[in-house]
Amino acid sequence: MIFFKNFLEPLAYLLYTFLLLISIDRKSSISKKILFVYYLAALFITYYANYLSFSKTLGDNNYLYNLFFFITACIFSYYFYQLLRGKVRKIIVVFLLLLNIFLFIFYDIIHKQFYGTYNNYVTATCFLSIVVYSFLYFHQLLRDVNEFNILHEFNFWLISGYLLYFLGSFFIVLFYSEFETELRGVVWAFQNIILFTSALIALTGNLWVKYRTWQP
Amino acid sequence: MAAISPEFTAIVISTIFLLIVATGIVVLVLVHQKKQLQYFSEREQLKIKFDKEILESKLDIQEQTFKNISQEIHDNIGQILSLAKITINTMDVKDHDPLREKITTSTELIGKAITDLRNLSMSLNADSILEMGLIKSLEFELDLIKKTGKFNTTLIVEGTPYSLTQQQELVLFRIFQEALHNALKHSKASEINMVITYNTFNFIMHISDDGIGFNADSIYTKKAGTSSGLRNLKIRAGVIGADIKINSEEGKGTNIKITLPHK
Repeated sequence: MIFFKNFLEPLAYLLYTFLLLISIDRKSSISKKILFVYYLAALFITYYANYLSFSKTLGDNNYLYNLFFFITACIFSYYFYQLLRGKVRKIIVVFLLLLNIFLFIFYDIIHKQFYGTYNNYVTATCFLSIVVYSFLYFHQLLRDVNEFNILHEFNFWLISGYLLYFLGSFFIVLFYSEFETELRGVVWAFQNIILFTSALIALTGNLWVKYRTWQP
Repeated sequence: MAAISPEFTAIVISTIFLLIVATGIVVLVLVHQKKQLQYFSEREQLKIKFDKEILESKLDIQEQTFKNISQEIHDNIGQILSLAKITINTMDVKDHDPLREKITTSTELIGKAITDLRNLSMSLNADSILEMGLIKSLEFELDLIKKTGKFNTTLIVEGTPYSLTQQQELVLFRIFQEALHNALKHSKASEINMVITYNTFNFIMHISDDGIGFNADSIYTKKAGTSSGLRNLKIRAGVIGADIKINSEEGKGTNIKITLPHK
């Protein structure tokens, strides 16, 4: 259980970092490079956060997750803003980003909860925003059909993984405070398993694409 | 009854959740593939339509060029030759003059040139062809070939003739001219036969010769320069929605069958 609860999360981010590392080349967009930096940062933040959870003297790690999920909302909003086409889709992304910023400022800064508690509703909003982005992307795929096979698209595998993780995590964090304290460890481990699965989907899918398109 | 552990519940819920999301993504891929097939089909239709429009434009330009050449032959060269003939005829030469025979020969040659040019002008001019009608135009062309004395030609019309559109008649006539040109140039044939069949469902034009034939597969390969004329036949037939079958074997003559659905 300790492995699932404390080590699976940084391991999943390590997989994502590796995926971005092998996918980036000189022609890659800036947003993809920023995503790589995000996952590299996520790897260290979550590793440190899990290290803190073992320590009894360094305090809790709530502020790290509050900060991490705020950064997640900003980075993913930027990534999807670049990826999505169409005015309406971009407006939705901007609106959800502003909502996330507002909630962060309202709860974490004005109500000074940044260091104190982990606000599951703020995190749920962040996750739901990314779920909406994912659906917008899939809607775009179905609307703008062209000759390219979506199974050969980097973003298709990446965002399929996101949908799995953020949709699952949305339900988990939404009802997080409802769970009994001794059950929260199991729920947290469950969330990490989904994260790891989503990383595996994105990595496996893109390795398969690389294998299919590889030319000696 | 033993209580269900939270871990077991989490595994069951996570499995169900994974299956639901995976099913959703599979459905998305399937819907996308279906839409992609539709997209390919629509693109292909557009390409066919575009190609057809290009071909029609090319044929229109070609017809316009033919018409201009035809008018030039009729109005300019024909007039000059007629004037030359009249001028020669007005020359005051005595019957026993040695020049008389040469003048008569020249007059006959100019007269033949005028007739040939008039015929050529008629063959080229779409208006003349449409005015005469398809069958008359075909008869006219075959008669011209027959008059050379090198070829024997026949034309058989089966069924009750019905009217085709002007575009169809013109394209069919051009196909016939192209086939005839190929036969005269390459086949070394002595016999050229045509059968026109009007039936309820199709208009069929069958052209055959008894020439040396050729390898019909070469029509579909680009290497054979001689096959460009035959490829043109297929392209022209495509414009009016006709099907063309070219059968030939070396030493066994050539058969060309054009089938145009009658609506």
